[in-house]
Amino acid sequence: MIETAPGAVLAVLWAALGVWFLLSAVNQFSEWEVARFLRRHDRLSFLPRWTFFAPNPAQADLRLLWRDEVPGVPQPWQEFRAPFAPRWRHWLFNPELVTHKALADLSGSLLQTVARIGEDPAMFSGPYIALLAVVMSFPAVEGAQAREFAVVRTSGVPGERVMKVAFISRPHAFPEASADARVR
Amino acid sequence: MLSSPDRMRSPRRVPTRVFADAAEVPSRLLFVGLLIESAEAIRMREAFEDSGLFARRVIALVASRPAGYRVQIGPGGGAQSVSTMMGLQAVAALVVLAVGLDAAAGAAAGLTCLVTSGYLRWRRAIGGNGADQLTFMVLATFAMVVLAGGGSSARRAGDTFVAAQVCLAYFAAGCAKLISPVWRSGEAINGVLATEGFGIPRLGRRLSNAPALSHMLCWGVIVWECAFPLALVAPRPITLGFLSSGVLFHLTCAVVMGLNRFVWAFCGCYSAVWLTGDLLR
Repeated sequence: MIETAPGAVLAVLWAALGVWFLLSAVNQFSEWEVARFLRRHDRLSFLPRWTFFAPNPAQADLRLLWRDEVPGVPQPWQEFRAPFAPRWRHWLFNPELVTHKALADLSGSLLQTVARIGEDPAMFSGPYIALLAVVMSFPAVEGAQAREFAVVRTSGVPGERVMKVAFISRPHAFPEASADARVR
Repeated sequence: MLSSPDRMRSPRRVPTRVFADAAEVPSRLLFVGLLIESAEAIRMREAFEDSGLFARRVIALVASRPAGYRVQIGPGGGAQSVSTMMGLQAVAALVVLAVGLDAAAGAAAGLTCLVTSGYLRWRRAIGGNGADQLTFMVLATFAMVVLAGGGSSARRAGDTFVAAQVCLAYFAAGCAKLISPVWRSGEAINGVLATEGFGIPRLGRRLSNAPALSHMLCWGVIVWECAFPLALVAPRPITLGFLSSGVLFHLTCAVVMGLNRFVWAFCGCYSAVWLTGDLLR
C-alpha cells in the first residue's frame, strides 16, 4: 500500500478518530451529565454503549399480550407472536432475535418509565404509545369497543414456567368510525 | 483490519504469521455478518409493513432522529424499500468477500454496505445490538480511511481505532459486570440462560443447581473482559490466547444464546487488535 495522503489529512484523520474514541469512552458513564448531553445530540448513534447484559442482565422474557373488551365481557388474552428461532439454526441465522429484542426494548423501556414517573404519566411516553399502536393494529373481535395490553415476564422451562404480570394498560377505545372495518 | 498486508511481510513478523497469510480473511468476516443481516432483514420484511412491529408510525413514536426522519417514516421506509436495500447490501457484501477491500470494486462495495447498514439502523431504530453497532462503526471508519486517501498510514489509524473500540467494548462491559451484584453473586448467567430469548431454560436450571460452576463462569467472563485490553501490550502468545478465547466465547454465545452476528462483527476486528498490538510492542 502506497502512502498517498499528505500529513495534514492524516492528522485530521487521527484527530477525528481520537475524538470519536474519547467521546465513546465518556459515553460509557451513563450517569454523567456530559454523557447524557452526548446521547441527546448523537442523533445518528455514532457513540456506543458497551454493556453486554450488564449491570442488570435479562432474567426473564418480556411478552406482550392484549385483549378486547366487548361491553361487559373481557375476551381472552392473546399474545403478540414473536417466536424464538429454532436452536438448530439460531447460532447462524436468527432474524427472530431482532423482533424479540425490539419488543424487549420497548417493554423494558416502558417498565423503566413507569418505575420512574408512575403509571399515569407513562401513558404519554413513547414506549407506551408505540406498544399501544402495535396492539391496536391487530384485528378486533366482533363487537369489541376497547382494547388493553399487558407486559408479562416469563422464565423457566415449559411446564414449570414462572409468569409475572409487570404492567397492564388502561383500556383504550377503538375509534367508532373504523370499528366496523377492523372486525374480523 | 484496514492495514496493508505489506507491514506484515517484514522479517520481524515472520514467526507470527497467524494472520499474515490471511490478513484479509478476518476483516472479511465482518461482511459475512452483513450478508447474514441482509438475509435476516429480508426474512422479517413483514415486520416493516404498516401492521408490523417496525411499522413507520411505531418507529416515529420512539425514534428521535430528525436526520433519519425521511428514512424512517417517509416513502423510502416501506417494507419493499427495506428489502431492496438489504438485497443491495447482500450483493455488496458478496463483492467484498470475493475481491476484498483493496480492490476498487471492493472499496465501493464496502462503502455501499455503510449506506445500507446505516439505512437499516435508522429505519429499524429499535432491536439493534452491539454487533450492529460495531459493524457500523468499522464501516464508518473505513469510509474515513478512504477519504484520507486509503494509504498505509490511514489504514493504520483505522486499525488502531477499531482495536481501541474493541478493547473499550470488552473493558466497559467487564466493568459494568464488576459493579453488578447479580454478576458478582454468580447468578447472572443462569438467569440469562433461564430465558427463552437468550438462553436454554433447561441449561439454566442445571446451572442454577451448580452454583460453584455458575460463580466461576460469571467471574471468568468479568475477568476476561476487564483484562482484554492487555491483548494490545502483552507478549504475542498471550495476545493470541485472548483472541482465541474471544473466538470461543463468541461461538459459545452464538450456539447457546443465539447471538449469531457477534461472532462475525467482533472476530472480524481481531486482526486490527493483533496489528495494533504489533505497533505498541
